[in-house]
Amino acid sequence: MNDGSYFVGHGNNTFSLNVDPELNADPDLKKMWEDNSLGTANISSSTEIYDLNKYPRGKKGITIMQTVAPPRTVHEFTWLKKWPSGGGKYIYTCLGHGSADFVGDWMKKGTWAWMQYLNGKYDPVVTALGRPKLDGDAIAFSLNRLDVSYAKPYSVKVMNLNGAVVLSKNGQGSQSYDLKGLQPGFYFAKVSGPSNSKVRRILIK
Amino acid sequence: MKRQFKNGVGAMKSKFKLATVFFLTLCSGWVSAEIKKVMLVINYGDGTAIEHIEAVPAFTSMMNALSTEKGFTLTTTKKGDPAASKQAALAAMKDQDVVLFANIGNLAFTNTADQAIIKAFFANGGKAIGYHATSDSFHGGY
Repeated sequence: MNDGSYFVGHGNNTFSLNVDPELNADPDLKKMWEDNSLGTANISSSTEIYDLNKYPRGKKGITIMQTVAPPRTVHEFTWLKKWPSGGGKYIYTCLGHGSADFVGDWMKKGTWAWMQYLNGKYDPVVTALGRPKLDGDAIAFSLNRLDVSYAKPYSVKVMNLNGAVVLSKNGQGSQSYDLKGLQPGFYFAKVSGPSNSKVRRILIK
Repeated sequence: MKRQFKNGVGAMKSKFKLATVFFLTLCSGWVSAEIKKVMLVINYGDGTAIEHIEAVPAFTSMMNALSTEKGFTLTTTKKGDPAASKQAALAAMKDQDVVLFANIGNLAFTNTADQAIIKAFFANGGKAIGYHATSDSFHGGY
């Protein structure tokens, strides 16, 4: 492998992918797994297995989802990475090398479950009243969309780098603002509540 | 008259129950997020050979079935596509609900401009699944 991870060999028999305890410790992942009856995956044959000398367990933002059952010596097989900021999420699986991986419906079922998870179906819902504090968690930005969640009345202003206000709104509770119409570039989003304000730099693409 | 009054109260109770269920669902549970746009990136390895081609028909077939079943739009970009359409596809990644990197192969995305697009995609909230993608810091995701 180009990063030093190395190929070990093919598993020519049915083998099992166990749910990792890290997944069970995450309520959202656990609910996704249970709701979709993913359980233990028994994959039929010929799936290429990688032994990673850069094991992801314990790395920042990583949650191990599946491991290969003994007697295989490889370990982590599927995991979730959450980006430290911006909300990016990535599920990596070693599955998908051979056509045998697609025998049965586990891959299809798993793919749909993972897609729904990534798209927010299992995220804990912020109440309609919004968060009680205007802190960093009350403001989120991704894919040109600014989400503000604050129980008290607030104003939101989006300014360009010259300080010109390009968007000004008042809100309360959980609101989402579509910024797709703005010219690409950096802006500042300022959310002001009764007792404090928060400013965040955002990039419109 | 009495019957009408009862019906009116019943209707109000019913509406109240519906509103309560909706509110409780919103506040305490999980809500659906509709998946409308999905991109499938297949076999982007920079080598000359198409790698692991045996998995591509199976993967494509699975995703086409899922697209039909669940009602989302599936855009596919794959090795061998003209450079312009590849660039257009990468640029459109940010508009997808989920991107699937299917068997993209070793040495995929060695082009620094492509890497920058992928980095920006995740840094700005992109969601993706990598299947048997290389395990470097971009594709293995750690």
